Amino acid sequence: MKKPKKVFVEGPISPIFIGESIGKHQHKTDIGAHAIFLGQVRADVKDEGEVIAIEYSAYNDMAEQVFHEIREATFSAFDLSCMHIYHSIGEVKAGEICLFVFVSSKHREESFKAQRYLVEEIKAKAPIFGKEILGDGSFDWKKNKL
Amino acid sequence: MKIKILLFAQLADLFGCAEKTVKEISDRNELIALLEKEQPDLSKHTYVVAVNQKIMHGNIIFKQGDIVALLPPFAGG
Repeated sequence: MKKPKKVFVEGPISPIFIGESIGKHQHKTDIGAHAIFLGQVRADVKDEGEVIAIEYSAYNDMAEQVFHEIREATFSAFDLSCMHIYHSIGEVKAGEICLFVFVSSKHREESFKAQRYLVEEIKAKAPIFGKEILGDGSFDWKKNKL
Repeated sequence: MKIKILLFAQLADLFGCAEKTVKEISDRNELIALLEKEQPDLSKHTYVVAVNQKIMHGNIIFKQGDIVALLPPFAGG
Protein backbone atom coordinates (compact mmCIF):
# COMPACT_ATOMS: atom_id res chain seq x y z
CA MET A 1 0.00 0.00 0.00
CA LYS A 2 1.29 3.49 -0.84
CA LYS A 3 2.42 5.56 2.12
CA PRO A 4 0.22 8.67 2.58
CA LYS A 5 1.98 11.90 1.57
CA LYS A 6 2.54 14.69 4.09
CA VAL A 7 -0.16 17.35 3.63
CA PHE A 8 -0.12 19.54 6.73
CA VAL A 9 2.17 22.57 6.97
CA GLU A 10 2.61 24.53 10.19
CA GLY A 11 1.30 28.09 9.69
CA PRO A 12 0.70 29.82 6.35
CA ILE A 13 1.95 28.42 3.05
CA SER A 14 4.51 30.88 1.71
CA PRO A 15 4.51 32.30 -1.82
CA ILE A 16 8.19 31.32 -2.01
CA PHE A 17 7.31 27.67 -1.34
CA ILE A 18 4.63 27.85 -4.06
CA GLY A 19 7.10 29.32 -6.57
CA GLU A 20 9.74 26.73 -5.67
CA SER A 21 7.19 23.93 -6.13
CA ILE A 22 6.51 25.17 -9.66
CA GLY A 23 10.27 25.34 -10.31
CA LYS A 24 10.73 21.71 -9.25
CA HIS A 25 8.61 20.60 -12.20
CA GLN A 26 10.69 22.27 -14.90
CA HIS A 27 12.59 19.07 -15.69
CA LYS A 28 9.29 17.17 -16.24
CA THR A 29 9.03 18.09 -19.90
CA ASP A 30 6.10 15.76 -20.63
CA ILE A 31 3.89 18.23 -18.67
CA GLY A 32 2.02 20.83 -20.74
CA ALA A 33 -0.27 22.29 -18.10
CA HIS A 34 -0.36 23.06 -14.40
CA ALA A 35 -3.52 24.12 -12.54
CA ILE A 36 -2.93 25.73 -9.18
CA PHE A 37 -5.56 26.61 -6.57
CA LEU A 38 -4.68 28.75 -3.57
CA GLY A 39 -7.08 29.12 -0.65
CA GLN A 40 -6.50 32.41 1.19
CA VAL A 41 -7.90 33.46 4.54
CA ARG A 42 -10.50 36.14 3.89
CA ALA A 43 -11.27 38.98 6.30
CA ASP A 44 -14.96 38.16 6.58
CA VAL A 45 -17.04 40.73 8.44
CA LYS A 46 -19.08 39.21 11.26
CA ASP A 47 -21.41 40.88 13.79
CA GLU A 48 -18.62 40.97 16.39
CA GLY A 49 -15.96 42.22 13.99
CA GLU A 50 -13.62 41.25 11.19
CA VAL A 51 -11.82 37.91 10.86
CA ILE A 52 -8.12 38.63 11.42
CA ALA A 53 -6.92 35.01 11.34
CA ILE A 54 -8.07 31.41 11.26
CA GLU A 55 -6.57 28.80 13.57
CA TYR A 56 -6.74 25.43 11.83
CA SER A 57 -6.86 22.10 13.66
CA ALA A 58 -7.61 18.61 12.40
CA TYR A 59 -8.35 15.01 13.24
CA ASN A 60 -4.86 14.29 11.97
CA ASP A 61 -4.92 10.51 11.51
CA MET A 62 -8.26 10.57 9.73
CA ALA A 63 -7.31 13.61 7.63
CA GLU A 64 -4.14 11.89 6.34
CA GLN A 65 -6.19 8.86 5.33
CA VAL A 66 -8.89 11.04 3.71
CA PHE A 67 -6.26 13.01 1.73
CA HIS A 68 -4.70 9.72 0.61
CA GLU A 69 -8.07 8.44 -0.60
CA ILE A 70 -8.82 11.72 -2.39
CA ARG A 71 -5.41 11.59 -4.10
CA GLU A 72 -5.93 8.00 -5.25
CA ALA A 73 -9.47 8.77 -6.52
CA THR A 74 -8.19 11.82 -8.41
CA PHE A 75 -5.37 9.87 -10.07
CA SER A 76 -7.92 7.21 -11.09
CA ALA A 77 -10.38 9.73 -12.50
CA PHE A 78 -7.97 12.04 -14.34
CA ASP A 79 -4.87 11.48 -16.46
CA LEU A 80 -2.41 13.48 -14.35
CA SER A 81 1.36 13.60 -14.31
CA CYS A 82 1.61 15.02 -10.83
CA MET A 83 -0.44 16.18 -7.83
CA HIS A 84 0.46 18.06 -4.66
CA ILE A 85 -1.81 19.07 -1.79
CA TYR A 86 -0.75 21.21 1.17
CA HIS A 87 -2.98 22.55 3.97
CA SER A 88 -2.06 24.76 6.88
CA ILE A 89 -2.34 23.80 10.54
CA GLY A 90 -2.19 26.44 13.24
CA GLU A 91 -2.71 30.16 12.74
CA VAL A 92 -3.03 31.73 9.30
CA LYS A 93 -3.67 35.47 9.14
CA ALA A 94 -6.13 37.13 6.76
CA GLY A 95 -4.40 37.48 3.39
CA GLU A 96 -2.17 34.44 3.92
CA ILE A 97 -2.45 31.13 2.07
CA CYS A 98 -3.96 28.09 3.84
CA LEU A 99 -4.48 25.66 0.95
CA PHE A 100 -2.23 24.88 -2.04
CA VAL A 101 -3.49 22.41 -4.64
CA PHE A 102 -1.20 21.82 -7.62
CA VAL A 103 -1.99 19.40 -10.44
CA SER A 104 -0.11 18.81 -13.69
CA SER A 105 -0.97 17.00 -16.89
CA LYS A 106 0.05 16.67 -20.51
CA HIS A 107 -2.89 18.82 -21.69
CA ARG A 108 -4.89 21.50 -19.89
CA GLU A 109 -8.30 19.79 -19.89
CA GLU A 110 -7.29 17.23 -17.26
CA SER A 111 -5.66 19.78 -14.99
CA PHE A 112 -8.67 22.14 -15.10
CA LYS A 113 -11.06 19.32 -14.17
CA ALA A 114 -8.85 17.62 -11.57
CA GLN A 115 -8.13 20.88 -9.76
CA ARG A 116 -11.86 21.62 -9.31
CA TYR A 117 -12.59 18.05 -8.26
CA LEU A 118 -9.76 18.06 -5.70
CA VAL A 119 -10.71 21.36 -4.08
CA GLU A 120 -14.37 20.36 -3.72
CA GLU A 121 -13.44 16.95 -2.27
CA ILE A 122 -11.07 18.52 0.26
CA LYS A 123 -13.65 21.05 1.39
CA ALA A 124 -16.33 18.38 1.77
CA LYS A 125 -14.38 15.49 3.28
CA ALA A 126 -11.22 16.57 5.10
CA PRO A 127 -11.79 16.65 8.90
CA ILE A 128 -10.19 20.08 9.33
CA PHE A 129 -11.64 22.72 11.66
CA GLY A 130 -11.21 26.49 11.59
CA LYS A 131 -11.45 28.83 14.55
CA GLU A 132 -12.05 32.33 13.16
CA ILE A 133 -10.25 34.85 15.36
CA LEU A 134 -12.01 38.22 15.32
CA GLY A 135 -10.58 41.71 15.81
CA ASP A 136 -12.11 42.09 19.27
CA GLY A 137 -10.42 38.92 20.49
CA SER A 138 -13.53 36.74 20.32
CA PHE A 139 -13.84 33.75 17.98
CA ASP A 140 -16.32 31.82 15.89
CA TRP A 141 -16.13 28.37 14.29
CA LYS A 142 -15.98 28.34 10.48
CA LYS A 143 -18.29 26.11 8.47
CA ASN A 144 -17.65 25.41 4.78
CA LYS A 145 -20.35 26.22 2.26
CA LEU A 146 -20.62 23.19 -0.02
CA MET B 1 -16.98 -2.03 27.10
CA LYS B 2 -14.56 0.87 27.15
CA ILE B 3 -14.74 3.29 24.21
CA LYS B 4 -12.36 6.18 23.49
CA ILE B 5 -14.12 9.39 22.38
CA LEU B 6 -12.34 12.15 20.47
CA LEU B 7 -13.81 15.67 20.48
CA PHE B 8 -12.89 18.51 18.14
CA ALA B 9 -13.36 22.26 17.76
CA GLN B 10 -16.58 23.57 19.33
CA LEU B 11 -17.34 20.14 20.86
CA ALA B 12 -13.95 20.04 22.60
CA ASP B 13 -14.78 23.54 23.89
CA LEU B 14 -18.19 22.34 25.13
CA PHE B 15 -16.81 19.36 27.05
CA GLY B 16 -13.57 21.10 28.08
CA CYS B 17 -11.42 18.27 26.71
CA ALA B 18 -10.31 16.64 23.46
CA GLU B 19 -10.57 13.06 24.68
CA LYS B 20 -12.81 10.99 26.98
CA THR B 21 -13.17 7.34 27.83
CA VAL B 22 -16.61 5.94 28.48
CA LYS B 23 -17.50 2.57 29.95
CA GLU B 24 -20.43 0.25 29.47
CA ILE B 25 -21.61 1.89 26.29
CA SER B 26 -22.61 -0.52 23.55
CA ASP B 27 -23.85 1.70 20.72
CA ARG B 28 -24.05 5.22 19.31
CA ASN B 29 -27.51 5.99 20.71
CA GLU B 30 -26.37 5.13 24.23
CA LEU B 31 -23.23 7.21 23.77
CA ILE B 32 -25.09 10.32 22.59
CA ALA B 33 -27.62 9.98 25.43
CA LEU B 34 -24.76 9.79 27.92
CA LEU B 35 -22.92 12.77 26.42
CA GLU B 36 -26.14 14.85 26.27
CA LYS B 37 -26.76 14.08 29.93
CA GLU B 38 -23.33 15.54 30.70
CA GLN B 39 -23.69 18.50 28.33
CA PRO B 40 -27.33 19.11 27.25
CA ASP B 41 -26.15 21.76 24.75
CA LEU B 42 -24.69 18.95 22.64
CA SER B 43 -28.17 18.51 21.14
CA LYS B 44 -27.92 22.04 19.67
CA HIS B 45 -24.73 21.20 17.75
CA THR B 46 -24.34 19.73 14.26
CA TYR B 47 -21.80 16.92 14.00
CA VAL B 48 -21.11 13.56 12.38
CA VAL B 49 -19.81 10.46 14.11
CA ALA B 50 -16.69 8.66 12.86
CA VAL B 51 -15.79 5.20 14.13
CA ASN B 52 -12.15 4.24 13.56
CA GLN B 53 -11.81 7.18 11.13
CA LYS B 54 -14.85 6.26 9.00
CA ILE B 55 -17.97 8.44 9.10
CA MET B 56 -21.00 6.35 9.94
CA HIS B 57 -24.69 7.19 10.09
CA GLY B 58 -27.54 5.68 12.06
CA ASN B 59 -27.07 3.59 15.15
CA ILE B 60 -23.71 1.84 15.35
CA ILE B 61 -22.84 -1.12 17.57
CA PHE B 62 -19.40 -0.55 19.05
CA LYS B 63 -16.62 -3.13 19.50
CA GLN B 64 -13.97 -3.18 22.22
CA GLY B 65 -11.18 -0.78 21.25
CA ASP B 66 -13.25 1.36 18.86
CA ILE B 67 -12.24 5.02 18.63
CA VAL B 68 -15.27 7.25 18.16
CA ALA B 69 -14.90 10.86 17.03
CA LEU B 70 -17.56 13.57 17.08
CA LEU B 71 -16.79 15.84 14.14
CA PRO B 72 -18.34 19.34 13.82
CA PRO B 73 -18.74 20.88 10.34
CA PHE B 74 -15.51 20.88 8.34
CA ALA B 75 -13.70 24.09 7.45
CA GLY B 76 -10.73 23.02 5.33
CA GLY B 77 -9.54 25.10 2.42
